[in-house]
Amino acid sequence: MLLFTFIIEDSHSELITYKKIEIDENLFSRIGESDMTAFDELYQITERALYAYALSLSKCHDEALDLMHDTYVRVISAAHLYKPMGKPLAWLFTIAKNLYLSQIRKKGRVVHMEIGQIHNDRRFSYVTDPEDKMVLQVALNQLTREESQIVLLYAVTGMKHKDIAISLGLGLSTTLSKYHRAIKKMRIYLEEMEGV
Amino acid sequence: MDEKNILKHLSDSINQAPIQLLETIKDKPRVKQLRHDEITRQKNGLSSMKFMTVVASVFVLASIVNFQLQYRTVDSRVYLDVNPSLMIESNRQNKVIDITALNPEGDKIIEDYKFKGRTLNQVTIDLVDKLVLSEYISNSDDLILVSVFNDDKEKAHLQKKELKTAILKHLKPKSIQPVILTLAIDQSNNKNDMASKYKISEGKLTLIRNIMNLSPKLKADVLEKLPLDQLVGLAKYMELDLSQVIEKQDLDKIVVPDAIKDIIEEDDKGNKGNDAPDDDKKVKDDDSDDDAKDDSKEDEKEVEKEVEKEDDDQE
Repeated sequence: MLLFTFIIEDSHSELITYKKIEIDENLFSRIGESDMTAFDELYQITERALYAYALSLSKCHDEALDLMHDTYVRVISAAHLYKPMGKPLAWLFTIAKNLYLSQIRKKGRVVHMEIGQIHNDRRFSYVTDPEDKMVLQVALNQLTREESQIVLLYAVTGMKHKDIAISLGLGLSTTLSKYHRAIKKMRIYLEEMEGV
Repeated sequence: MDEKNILKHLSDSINQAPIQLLETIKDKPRVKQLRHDEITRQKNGLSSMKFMTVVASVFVLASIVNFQLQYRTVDSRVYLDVNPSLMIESNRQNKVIDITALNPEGDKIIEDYKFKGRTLNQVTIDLVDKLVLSEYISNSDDLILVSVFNDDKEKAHLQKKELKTAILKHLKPKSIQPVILTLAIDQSNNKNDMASKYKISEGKLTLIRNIMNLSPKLKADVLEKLPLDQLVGLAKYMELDLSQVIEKQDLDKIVVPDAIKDIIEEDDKGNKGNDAPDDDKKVKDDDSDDDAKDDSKEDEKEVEKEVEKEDDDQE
């Protein structure tokens, strides 16, 4: 009997549970009228998705938090101007991206990390599991920006590729092909790293 | 590592991240923007550049299609009948878009003729020149029937006048001043079918119909076989009122072809002192046959029979 339990148990087959992202666009008009409960609601729904997006841009936890903060502040400032277009998450991402690009223009440089540096990287010190850390870092450093955005959003939110495409302003076929290419790249890098 | 595991590790790492921003954000003083700026501006479905490109492309396409439609849409149809029968189609800008020969003689006239970019007047003159070269028009006894169709009746009337003037002016130096008959015709599908059936132009068919209206006993299948000069000559001889289609000064110029005169005279001689021929169509004369009765109805029937006979001889 004990033999059978070892065979059956498999930690990797745990289901990932997602927080469904469904944003009522009326939240923005309520936020515009200074209804902060509406903002609370928006924040709870979008927090992790926006973090994943901000992380794919900045590749640094602290910078991602700053970007998130500034994004939500701008949302509050401009919520009364929001026009419903059926893509509320896309608006958040647009604000985050524009803020990031504005910062880049001011700072003038982007740092890319080599694969050898990943092991010593302290920017993700909050991640306790080494495998989690390794996979995250590969996703952030070895994929293109769009590839990492797509993979992270899919992993964190479980959004359909169609909805990811809309939120990122990409075509569906582009999104699908980038996703598969990203997964393939990550598998190769991860196998390489396991070899090392 | 498979896809599922990769996604799981990513999800776990992101969900572990310590994020405590809500209160910090809410504590920040709230400033409302007056309008969107470059950070908060919402994107349309298409970027403005793409949108402008699409609009410009649609505009260019619409212009091309409109131009093609304008250029290719027939506005006027002009029929030239001498013996060759020709149809010239032109657009609103009076540029010729097509020429069709309606009989084999017409085919030879338009063979190898290039009309692209030329106006209605220019093409009409060119074709008249070709008719002169082919000796279909050589003297002032010759007839040309110019028929014009246009939805705008006023325009049709003006065009027929212009074309007549242009032809006469062009031929004057060559000392040829043919009789030009002009007609404005109505569009009718029925007429189209009949014209196709008899292989004549709508202009000639309209003339035939006018003649038949004036003399109902004349048959279309007889009249359609007559060349233009005999058709008009017959009408003149029968003193049919063609003032609607032919101006008086032109009607005076028309010479009744000898063929018709001779045939009618012979028939008149034959009728004097002879019993009436045994013919179902002929109206029986009550008087003696000493005097030929001046009865236009009998004459018409005789002309019809003689015309049929002449036509058989010609064939």
